[in-house]
Amino acid sequence: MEIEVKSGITELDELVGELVSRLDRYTKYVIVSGYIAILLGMERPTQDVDVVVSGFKSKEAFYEFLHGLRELGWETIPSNLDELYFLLEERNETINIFTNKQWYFDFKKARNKWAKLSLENPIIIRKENLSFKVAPPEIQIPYKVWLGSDKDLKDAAYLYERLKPIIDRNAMLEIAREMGVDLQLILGDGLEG
Amino acid sequence: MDLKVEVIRPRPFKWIRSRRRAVFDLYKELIRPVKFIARKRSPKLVFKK
Repeated sequence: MEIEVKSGITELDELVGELVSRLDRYTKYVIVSGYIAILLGMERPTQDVDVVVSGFKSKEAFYEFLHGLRELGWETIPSNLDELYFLLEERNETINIFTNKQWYFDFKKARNKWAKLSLENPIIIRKENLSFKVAPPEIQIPYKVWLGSDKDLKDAAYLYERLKPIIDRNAMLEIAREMGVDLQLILGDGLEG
Repeated sequence: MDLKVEVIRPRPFKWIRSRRRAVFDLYKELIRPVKFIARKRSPKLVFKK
């Protein structure tokens, strides 16, 4: 499934596009954060974009990827390459990649069932010449409700309303049941009027 | 042995009504405006199989 967003690209879109176009050469990836709602047109501030990856083929591939980013003036925490590789690949911990602006990426390997399923079933969002793989709404919406903050509930509602035509409602309800969350608030069933 | 005995009673009608009210209030204040903006104030999307 592909979705084209009929709007201009933002500075943040350009930075995310830069990262994912490079990432595509080394590993499977999927964007899983509130940035999906922003990409689809939601106006709200963010500083971080969450990206889940399947993993790099080798240490060398990971170093090559990071060297490319450093040439752009981007930085990481931690800064040591061996430590970064160890944290990401061995410990499954989140690493931070900072762009040369105020935005940064939370970068992690797929740890749980939902992240792995998202990696295998991404949807493509296109905006002008940029292309992004994002987590399917059937997983992302219940997950946002599970997180439960006001911001996450708003993101879930926005995603649901925007992507309603392509959402497999039964699959989403089944995933919500497995996660132990109630989607009534997002679906609005019995709440309108 | 210290056994805790829990008495399960049906929830009073008032509690059910107030829960429904709370969900509706949350919907009205948080969700409904976002849905409106998603429908009417957001860029067009084109879906392709």
